[in-house]
Amino acid sequence: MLRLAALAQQAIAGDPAAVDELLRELRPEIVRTVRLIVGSGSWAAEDAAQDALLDVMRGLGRLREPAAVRGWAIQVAVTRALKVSRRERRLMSLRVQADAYESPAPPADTRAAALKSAFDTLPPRMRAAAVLRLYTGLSEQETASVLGCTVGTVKSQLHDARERLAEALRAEGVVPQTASPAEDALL
Amino acid sequence: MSQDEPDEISLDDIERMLRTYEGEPTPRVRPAQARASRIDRRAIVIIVAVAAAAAVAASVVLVLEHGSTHSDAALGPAVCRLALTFRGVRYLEVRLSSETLVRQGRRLGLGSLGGCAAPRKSVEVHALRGIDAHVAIGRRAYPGLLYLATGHCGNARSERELLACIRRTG
Repeated sequence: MLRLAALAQQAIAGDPAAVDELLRELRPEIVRTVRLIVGSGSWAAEDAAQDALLDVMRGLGRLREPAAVRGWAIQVAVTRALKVSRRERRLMSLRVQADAYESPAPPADTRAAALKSAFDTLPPRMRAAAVLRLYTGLSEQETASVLGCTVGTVKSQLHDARERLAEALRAEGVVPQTASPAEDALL
Repeated sequence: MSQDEPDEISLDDIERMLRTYEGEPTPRVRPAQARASRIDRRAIVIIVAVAAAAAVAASVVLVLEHGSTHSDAALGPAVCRLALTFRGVRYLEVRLSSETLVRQGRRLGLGSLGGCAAPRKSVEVHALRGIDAHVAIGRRAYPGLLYLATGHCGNARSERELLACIRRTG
């Protein structure tokens, strides 16, 4: 954290090496977060991840608090991801599907694949709330701050996401609940 | 909101699925661990002070990628800038204060944008009306950005001077 703040301070002051180093530090988290929100495995997600990095780099001059660089970068990246996700949803509604560039490490079990497919159909902000809370590791308060909503909205988004995913899996004929260890032992 | 109801998807299920597709997330330092000691804080203050002093001393001269230096008077805040390579000419990105200061013209082709640790990508390049493409070009999707050829108008001290310079150069 301190290292990021120091790098951000130097980057804002115009040190190109610090900009390089800062982006190298932030890149994995930004790329993964954006991919998951847009839909891992699509060209749109790859493009969005690249554009999010460019947004972060271009916006560095406007960063006021170097200590908050991580949260700020995530917010910039999520803004880009939501923009692309909304565009992709509009395209989907027109039945123009983005080509998948490859299947990134397809999971062995069909349940995880079905869950991923269902997750990609959730509204973009619901996906963003889930990714920020469950993957990026932000608190409810931080997630609300990034998404510009209340903590209550974040909670209800997560609750709705679970319900929708369960419903989608049932419609696909997949058992939503993970088998417990006891059930595994019986199989 | 119980996570143990039958026929429910738990938050753990979603988390596991997300990790399946993007791997383990970047480990996060908890606030308690991240709390700086007095020595750490002193070090930060010193680094910040040195960086600020260096920035002032260096004025507005930036060292850009490939080690080239350029006056930054007209280029805005001092941060690393993307470079656009088009037909063998290297252009540096300049953010304009308004999207209406330059008007885009015909499509010229594809250029390669990169630098500052960002991944390189192909972008559509457009001419700017009334401006020689050897001096400055633009991108359709970003009307607020201008790409200035290296070696041109580097001494402009303001956005106004820069625009006047690129219009009369070429």
